[in-house]
Amino acid sequence: MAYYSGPNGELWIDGAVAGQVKDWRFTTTVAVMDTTALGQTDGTSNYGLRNTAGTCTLFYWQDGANTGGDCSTLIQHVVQGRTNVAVQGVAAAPRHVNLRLKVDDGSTNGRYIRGEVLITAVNMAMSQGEIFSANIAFQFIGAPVEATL
Amino acid sequence: MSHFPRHPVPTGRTYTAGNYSSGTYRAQSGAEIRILFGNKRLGSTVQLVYNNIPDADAEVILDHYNSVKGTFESFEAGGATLNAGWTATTGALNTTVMVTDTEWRYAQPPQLQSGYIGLSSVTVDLVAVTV
Repeated sequence: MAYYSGPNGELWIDGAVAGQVKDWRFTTTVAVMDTTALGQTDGTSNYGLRNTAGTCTLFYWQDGANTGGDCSTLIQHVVQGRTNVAVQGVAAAPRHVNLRLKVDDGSTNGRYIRGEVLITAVNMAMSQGEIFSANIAFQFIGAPVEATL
Repeated sequence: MSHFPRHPVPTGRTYTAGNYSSGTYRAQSGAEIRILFGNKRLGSTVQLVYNNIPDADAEVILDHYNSVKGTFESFEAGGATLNAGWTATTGALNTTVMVTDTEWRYAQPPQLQSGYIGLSSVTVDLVAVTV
């Protein structure tokens, strides 16, 4: 029996483990549909749609100058420059990405939740005294492909 | 005589009481004369809303609509349909009780909204008619 914490966490991007990941988190929400009929004194409800979304933070780290890294790989799924510098309104469309949020419990595959996600927000800030990093929000497309947590 | 389904129980209900048939005449002096043409309240309407009910219950309503030939035939309604949640005089919202020789018919086809697997929302508009 064991607890798990930061050292046991991994984030995989398109099948490869990412480096310099500060954190990841996800939230699964289920809508509640009201079914309260006239004459009832207490509300009744039923399950509605379920959604899973989350965030992760990756430090911006490169092996060398202009070599990119996992943070670049991830944010470039949505952060795109113009296709033609002279055309303001056209850039490559955002792409979805396969993420695996994993807990390394010592087993062969570990425990994880994985699936195709849409990156819904990328937040980056450069400031004195802090490591440059990206906070990325994502939403699973449908249900996770696997959820073994 | 067909009866509106007693089940499912509506999740919302809007009742409009109707009115007595009358005429209003106003003289040039401003005096107003009103003449009552009948002794029955006419045109009561009720809108029944069934939110997130099982599809099978929604089908019961559609089946009833079909059985009375849509908006053509009239039928009785009461019980939980018109009284659920109402704590005053039973039947006060049911013109069948308030006024004899009165039934209901569909004012328009029921509207069914599918929102989630196995659950539907149905809106039914009924209008009271004298038979």
